[in-house]
Formats: sequence, C-alpha cells, structure tokens
Amino acid sequence: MSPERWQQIEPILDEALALPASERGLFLERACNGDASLRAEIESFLIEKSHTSDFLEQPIFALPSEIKQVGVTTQPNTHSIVTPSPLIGQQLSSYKIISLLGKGGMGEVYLARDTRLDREVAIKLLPPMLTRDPEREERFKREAKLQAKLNNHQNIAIVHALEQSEDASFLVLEYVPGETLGDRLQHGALPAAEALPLFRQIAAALAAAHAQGIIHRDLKPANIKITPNEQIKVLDFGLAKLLHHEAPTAEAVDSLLTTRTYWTTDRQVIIGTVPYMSPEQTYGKELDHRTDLWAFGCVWYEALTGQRPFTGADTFDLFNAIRTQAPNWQALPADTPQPIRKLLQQCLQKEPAQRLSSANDALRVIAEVENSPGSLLIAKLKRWKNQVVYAAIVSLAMTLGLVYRQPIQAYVATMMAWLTPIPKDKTLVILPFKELGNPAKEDKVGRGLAKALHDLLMSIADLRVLPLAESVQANLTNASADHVMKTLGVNLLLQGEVQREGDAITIHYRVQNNQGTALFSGSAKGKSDDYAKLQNEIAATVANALKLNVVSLPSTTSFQDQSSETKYLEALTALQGDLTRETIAPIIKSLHELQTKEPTSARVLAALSQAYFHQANLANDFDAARTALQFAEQALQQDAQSIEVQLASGQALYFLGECQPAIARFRSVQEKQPGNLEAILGLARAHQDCGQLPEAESFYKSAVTHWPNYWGSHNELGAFYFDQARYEEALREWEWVMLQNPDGAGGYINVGNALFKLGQYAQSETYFHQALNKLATNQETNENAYIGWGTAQFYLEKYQDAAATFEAGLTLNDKSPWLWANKGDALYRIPGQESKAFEAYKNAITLTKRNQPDALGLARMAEIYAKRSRIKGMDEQVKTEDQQNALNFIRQARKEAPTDVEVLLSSIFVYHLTGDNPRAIDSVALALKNGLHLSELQNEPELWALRQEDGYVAIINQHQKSR
Amino acid sequence: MTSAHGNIVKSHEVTQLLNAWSHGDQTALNQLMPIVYDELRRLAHQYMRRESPGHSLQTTALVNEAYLRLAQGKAVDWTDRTHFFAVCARVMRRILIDIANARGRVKRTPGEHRVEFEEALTIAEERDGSLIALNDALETLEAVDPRKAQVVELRYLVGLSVEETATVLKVKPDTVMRDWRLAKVWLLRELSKTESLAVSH
Repeated sequence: MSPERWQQIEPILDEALALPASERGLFLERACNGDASLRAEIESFLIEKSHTSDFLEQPIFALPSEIKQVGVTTQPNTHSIVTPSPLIGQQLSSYKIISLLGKGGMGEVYLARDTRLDREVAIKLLPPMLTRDPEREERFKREAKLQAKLNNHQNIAIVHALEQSEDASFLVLEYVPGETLGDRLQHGALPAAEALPLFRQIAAALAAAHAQGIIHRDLKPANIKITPNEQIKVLDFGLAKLLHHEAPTAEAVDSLLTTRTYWTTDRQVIIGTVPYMSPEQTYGKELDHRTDLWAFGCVWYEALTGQRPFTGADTFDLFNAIRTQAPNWQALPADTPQPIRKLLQQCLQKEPAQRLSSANDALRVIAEVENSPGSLLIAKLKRWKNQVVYAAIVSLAMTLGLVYRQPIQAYVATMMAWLTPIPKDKTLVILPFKELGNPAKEDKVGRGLAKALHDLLMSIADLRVLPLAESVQANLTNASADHVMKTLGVNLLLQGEVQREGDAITIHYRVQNNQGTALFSGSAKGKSDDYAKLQNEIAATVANALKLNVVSLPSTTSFQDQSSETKYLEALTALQGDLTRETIAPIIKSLHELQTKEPTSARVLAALSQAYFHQANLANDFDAARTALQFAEQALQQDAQSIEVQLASGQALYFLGECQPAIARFRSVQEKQPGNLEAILGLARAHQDCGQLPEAESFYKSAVTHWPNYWGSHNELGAFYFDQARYEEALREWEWVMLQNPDGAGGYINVGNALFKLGQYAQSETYFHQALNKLATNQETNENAYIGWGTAQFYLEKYQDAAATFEAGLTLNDKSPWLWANKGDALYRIPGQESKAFEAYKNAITLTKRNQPDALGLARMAEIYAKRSRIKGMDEQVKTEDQQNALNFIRQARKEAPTDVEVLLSSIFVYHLTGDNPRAIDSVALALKNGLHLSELQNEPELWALRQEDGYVAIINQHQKSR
Repeated sequence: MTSAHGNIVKSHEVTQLLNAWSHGDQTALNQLMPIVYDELRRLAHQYMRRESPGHSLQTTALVNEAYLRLAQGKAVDWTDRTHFFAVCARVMRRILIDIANARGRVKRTPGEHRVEFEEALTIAEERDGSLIALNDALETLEAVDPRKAQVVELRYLVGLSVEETATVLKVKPDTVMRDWRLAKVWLLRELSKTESLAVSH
C-alpha cells in the first residue's frame, strides 16, 4: 500500500471504527462515494476486529507484580473473599475493574483501569442508599466538588470523579501504591527520625485541608498511605462526613468495619474510629479542625511507641480513657526530641480550647526540630535522603512530567527501596577497590585502599567488619555482590573503583545490602596523593549513611610528604596480595624507605610489623616475628589506640609462643569491640596454645555467635573440635561450612576428614571426590583432597586406587611428605611394589626433615621410619637404623606434645612395628583417653596383629565400658 | 563487579549523541544504539539478580534507569529524554528480533547477550513465532505511516502510556489514541495475511 492510498483510507476507517457494526455499511457506501475498491479495502480492515480486542493491549514485556498489590482501602483485605467478586473484569462506565483491593468501612475498593485516560485508578463503590434520594445526591456531589479543592496537594490522595452508572455510584480516586502507616506499624514502632518526615507531610495535608474548611474526622494509620518513595498520601479526606451525613441504615452500619458509627442518646451520629476519636467526638459534639489534631497526636504517639495512647476493654472503657485519662508519656522512646514530646502533649489536650490550635503550628515545631543543628539524628537522615537519592528521583520525575504515573512510581519505588533496608545488625565486607584503566593484575592501590577503609571502619562498635584478608582470600573479586555476601554471611558490602586522570583521583564507592538493594553511592574527589583525606571522607560518609552511632571515627593522619601516600597504599596493596618469600622482600624494602621519610608514622610502622609478620609466617622465621613485634610496639607508641596495631602485636606475640601477652593484646581490642573477628580468633588460638582449652572453646564459639553466617567462624570452631578429637562436633560445624560455601572445596575436604576420623570411609571417600571436582571447577589445587581421598580408599582396602590417587596428588606437589608417606603405605600393601614403597618412604623422610618439623612432624617421621623398617628383604643395617630413628623421633615428639592424639597414634605404630607391644598398648590407652576415635585403631590394617593382643582387648573393653 | 567504568566515560558521549541525532545526524543513532543496548543488557542482568524468580522486568523502569545512568552527572534534559525513549524503542525492537531468533535456534551460543535479555524479559514462548511477523508488519507500516509504527513501538515495546507516548512524539494524547487504534487494525490486517494472529495473548 502506498502512503497516499493510506491517507485516503485512514480518515474513513477511523470514522467507521467508531460506529457500531450495523451502521458501517451505510456509512461506507456514502463515504466511498461509489469507489468499490476503496470500500473493499477499508472493509478488509474491519473484519478481524471482533475477536482481537486485546491485541497489543499488554506491553510485550510483562509488568512486575508488586504494582498490583496495594490499594486505597481503609483496611487490608483480611476476611478472605472466597468467591471472586463478580465485578472483576467488568466495565463500569469507562473503568475496567481489574481486582479487588479491599473492603473497608467505606465499602469495596477496586483497582480499575480508566480506559479513556489510560491510567490506573481506585474505585470506591458507595452504598446504594446514599444516592437513591435526589436531594441527598445533590449534596453528595457538592461535597465531592469541595473535595476536589484538595486535589492539588501532594500529600492528599486525589478524588478524580464521582461517577454514576445505572447500577452503582462510585468515587474514582487516585490509585496510590505502597503500604499504609498501619501496615508499617505492624512491624513495630518507628524510630523518631523516620517518623518525623512522615508526620511533617501529614501535618501539611491537614493544614491544607483545614485552610479549605475541610476536616478529615477519621485520621488513623489505615488512612495514611506511604508511597514507595516515602511520600505521604492521606486518604478519605472528609469522606467520613460525606458518607455519614445522614443516619445510615442498619445494613450500612453492618458493613462499616473500621469506621464505627455510634449513636448518642440525643441521636447525634458519632463518626470516627474509636481509638483515635477526640473527646468531643466521643460526646457527639460539633467538631472543628482540632479533632484532626487530636487524631494526629494519637497516630504519632502510636508510631513512636507501637501502642495507642488510649486503650480500653470495650468501647465505653475506651471512651472513658479518651475523656479522662492521660497517655503514658514515659512510653515515648528516650530519643524523642523534646519539642516533639511537647507537641504531642499539646495535641492530646482534652479541651479543644487548650489543644494545639493549628496544623501549621505543628509544621513549625517539626521544621525547628529538623533544622536544629544539635539534632544529629535528624541531620543524618536529611543528608542521607536529600542528597543521595531523593534529588535524583525528583529531578527525574519532574523532567518526565509524569510524577504520579504507575511506571514511574514503580521506578521510584525501586530507587527509594534503597533508602530503608539498612539492617539493624550490621556486618560488612569490603571488597578490594578496582582500578579503572588498570587490569586487575596491575592492581596498585585497590586492596590497600580497602584495607585502609577496613581499619578505619572497624573501630565503630556497632559495625562488624569482616577482616579484609578473609574477603581477599575468598577470591570473590569477580563474583556478584549478592554471591559475595551470601558466601561470607554478611549483610552489607562496600565496593568501589579508583579513577585517576592526570593529577586528579576520583574514588567511586557504593554500599549495598544482601537484599539486592543498593543503599547509597558516592564519589570522593581529590588530587593525587590525597588518599588519606579521601579515605576519611569515605569512611565518614559510610558511617553516616549506615546510621551508625559514631562518637569519633579515627582519621588517617596525613604523611609529612604528600607523595608518600601513593607509595604507602601500593605497599599496603602488595601486602594484601598473594605473598611468597620472594615477593615479601621488596615490600619490606619499600616500607623501610618510606619509614626513613616518615619516621613517626604509625601507619608505616604498623605496615612494617605486618610485613615482617608475613615473612615470619612464610619462612617460619622467628627473628622476623620478633622484628614484627618491635615495629608493632613502636607503632603503639605513636598511636596507642590503633586497633590494627594492637592486633598486629598480638599476632606476633602469638607466633612467638608468648600466649599470655598475646591474650592481653587481643583482649584489649575485644573488650572495646566484642565482635572483632581477628581479636576473638586471636584469643581463641592463644588460649588453645596456652593449653587453656575451655577458654579457647568459648572464644571459638564466640566467633560463631558474632559471625553466625560466616563460614570462616564455623570452620575455625570445627578445626578446634577436630584438634580435640571431637569429630562429631567438628563434622557438624564443617557440614555447615560446606552448605554455606558450596563452591569452596575446603568444606568438602574437612567433612571428608571428619567422616574419615569417625570411621565412615565410604562416605568420606565421596566427599573427597566432590572436593576434587570443586577444585577442578575452581581451577584450584589442594593436595589435601588427594591425601584424604587416597587415605579413605586405603582404609576401604582399595590399595591400587589409593596409590593412584596419591600419585595424582604428587603430580601437583611432589614436595608433600604426607603424599609420599601415604603412597608408601599403599604400595607396601600391593605385592611386588616393596621397593617402590621404600623409595616413597625415603622421599617422605627427606622432605619432612627439610621443614624444621614440629611435634607432629617428628611423630610422622618416626612412623615412616618404623613402617619402612618392616619392608621385607631390606638391608638389615638399614632396618636397625630405621627402628632407632623411629624410636628417637617418637620420644622427641612425645616430649613436645605428650597428649596430642596424632602424636600418640604415631607412637602406637612406632612401638608396635618395632616390636614393643606393651608400650604400644600403653599408647593406645593414652590416645583413647585423649579422644582418639576407636575406629582409627579398629580399621587400621597395620595394627591387625596388635588387636589380637590380650592387653589391647582389655583396654578396648575398658574404654567402651567407660563411655 | 560491574563496569561502572563504562558509564563514567560514556555519560557525556550519550548526551552529545542524543543532541546530534535530534539535530538530524543519523549516524549518531547508529553510535547510540550499541551503547544503549549494552546498558539495557547490563541493567537487565542486574535486575535478574535482584528480582526473585518469577518476577519479571518492567521495560519502562529499565529504560528510565538506563537513561539516568547514561546521562549520569549531566543535567537531565527533557528533550534528550524523549529522544532517548525513541532510541530505546528501536533497541527494544532489535532485542525482540534477537530473542525470537535466539529461541528459534536449536542451540544457543554461550556468552551471547541476547540470551540474557531473553531470560530477563518475560515473553510468552508462544508469542515468538509471531514476533518476527509482527516486526515485518511494523516495517511495512513504517513505510506507509511512520508515526503509527512509532506509537506501536513506544506503547507495545517500551510500555509507555498514552500520555508518555504523546510527550515523546510531541502530539496530543488524542492523536496517540487515534494512531494506536488505527495502527492496531492495520497490523491485524497485515498479520492476518500471514496467519499470525497469535500475537495477541
């Protein structure tokens, strides 16, 4: 079809479409003026019309369901309506009824679509008796017109129209999405700062209505709607009077569910909802605007305390309370600003003459409170709402010119939802900051910045910050925020980017919660080397925005030389990365260079302490630990309050085996911050080291109490139980870890280990197998999974498989003495593999010796010597030497750790294999006493002969009896 | 972490391009489309994570948020906004075709962004076959009466109301209603030729 032809068709088609089908023929004949082809063509457009009325009517991409939830109703639809209303789907005048929003005192309210103006509206059906009488109808219309005067106020729901069709009269009202104040109060009282802006808007609505001479008469939480952007819309203004102007019929009275109508003796009608009625209302007296101010006071009181100011067992009791009793003013929360207390008292004066005289007075008091500089609470709230999000939304809505339309509402809702959900109990993870324009591997300052913010924020008592090392190690940089929070069991996440352009730095940052909502974002701008200033700014904004009570946030002291900032952050970043003995040296070197420039900087000294501590850990280097301690002590002299430094000092002390001084350090942190994970775990480990097991256990448990959803705390507690041979308890904790962090292989490995210790080899084997699958998925390696899997196979007597598994593990790490030793064990059981077993044992011994073995290492080495010595066909001299070595090493190990279960287990092997069964049996008794699980002995092929000994049997019987 | 990087660089670029396009520079549209497409894709992806399963995405909200992000830091210009809606309508149409094509394929190519869109935007599967037909019909309509085609894009694909569509097209709401009415009968007739009336749900 050509555009010209269409231009010819279009106007005629348009007119034809507007006509009933029966009249079209005649019309077309005339309009087409004998042009048969034109008529035929137009008719071709008219054919399909009848059964395709909803063609394209729904936008192709579906609407989110939350839009459809809410309504203007005075009461949520609590009595479930069993049969769907017959009205749904019907057309009332130009309104298509979509759904029932609720039933209330004013009758039924429906969500409908205004097909003319293409918008959603609320339709309130009126009781038929109201409009039957023409005179009454006239008055009703007048009132509705009066109502329309209020249509321009942003806090009053609009009355679009009063409409009448043959069978119903109804009000067409603005459809307001969101919850009512009543809904919100079901979750408890509101904080004073949250209530204040809501009541400012309610007061504004009242002031505007009162100025027009309109009284609400029935203000109550259910009549106050809060839109998703925290805008108040007062509903049903003046409707109470409108609907109850004349004595209602009995049938209408029955339908009035929340708004009760009462008759006084002189047949005056009382309108209102009893708990919010003013004293004059309960007497059925003439009302003026001050009745609304009473209700306003009642509702605010209820919002702050969660309870109504006046209560009674029945209506008369309640009337009596309203008329004679004073509300319990003690119930107002302590942080209620004094002027607000006074305002509420003025609102709830029994005598109207003594009451607050106007809503404008209330507005003035509220404005004073909001603007008072002393009110920290309010200041925070204002800054938060106005600057961050509200401005953006308002400007958007205004530019669109579409402020009250649905899709925008929904959009605003999404954004405004960000305002509210700040969790009460706050646990925060900080992710390394990304560097724009810098690929991750060239990360220069991002981790350091995160660490600096971590150190600043962790001094806030109400906030628990996950130690940065935990999030860095978890390697979740590329995971979604939700995933990170879920995995780490925290409810807040701070992340951001650093952008450098020439001389300027901009740090973009944002915080989101674990409900998927972004709470706020910001940018801090400065010149290069302004990092200290920017850090302080970001930390302060975060603390502020999270509504944290911060007495004084420590701030980073700037360096003497500005250029040190970047160098410092680079070193700090390097320190948070993957460290090896090779990479730590240059970091230490650059920190020393920095220290010569900034000799008194606590930050540099603390970083040096941490760097040396890492070195100590990596190289098992006690001198480095002592240096770390010295730097920590120096840093403390500069800044005695620094939590970070106290923790560093505690760690160094712990490393050096100074468990009591370490405990003192950790305790001083933990006393100030009971939820500091590093301090708690430091205390737990140090106590464990000192042999104070009950204390250690209580601190491990405390870590779980404070970080209940973080797998790391459960993991530590599990490891403690495992060390104490409490395998069932270890299993419980580790199963939790596995479920919480299903992508990590660690949980599976540990569960496998615990099951193994409990003698459940087949199950254990499957978990190790899964661990290996996870490792492959994550492109990680962990030889422990091979050790576990192979060992389980070994105990299941699958020696060939076990040897192959250990062999696979060795391809990953041929320096693991445990893998070599276990491979030896497996090969020893395979006929013809004796010489290979010998070689494996030999490698295991060489590798163990290399690593300055501790008690456990010595015991294992002894065990390997003993095992090697029994290989058939060996040189006799080697055999004797092996046995000697086994006995020597086990003696040393026993001396260092006399009650360690693993050491005792090794000594059973050593004594048994060197032919000293009495001592082996002594060791059995001791090991069982210290928690060794019986299955480890009963299923060990190596100990078969020992189990036949009478002494052994006696010990086992005794042990089983004692349990 | 997502690429806030991209936004920052692009914000003024987008405003400039919108401006250029509104002054008749057609190449600006070609440059805008991929930027808008990427942004919508990214947002859709985010929404996917945010929403519980079963929730679907509202195009208007998506488009609004995309605009806010792309114009970040710039004064939100009213005319830019209407142009932006128009670009989005084009993009949504492109996406629609991609979705339909992607579903038609036996196996999806991993990593293709249209698949993410497909997951984010809920469209009944049974509509797919006719999406292509609808697009073809729209193209025919465009040749005959471009504004009516645009009304359909804005109303049906972007989900705008009559008033919003009127604002974007700088016409009266009555005109939009009339266009809408006529466009529908036009499309119905066109589709009946290809027996694809299943477009209606």
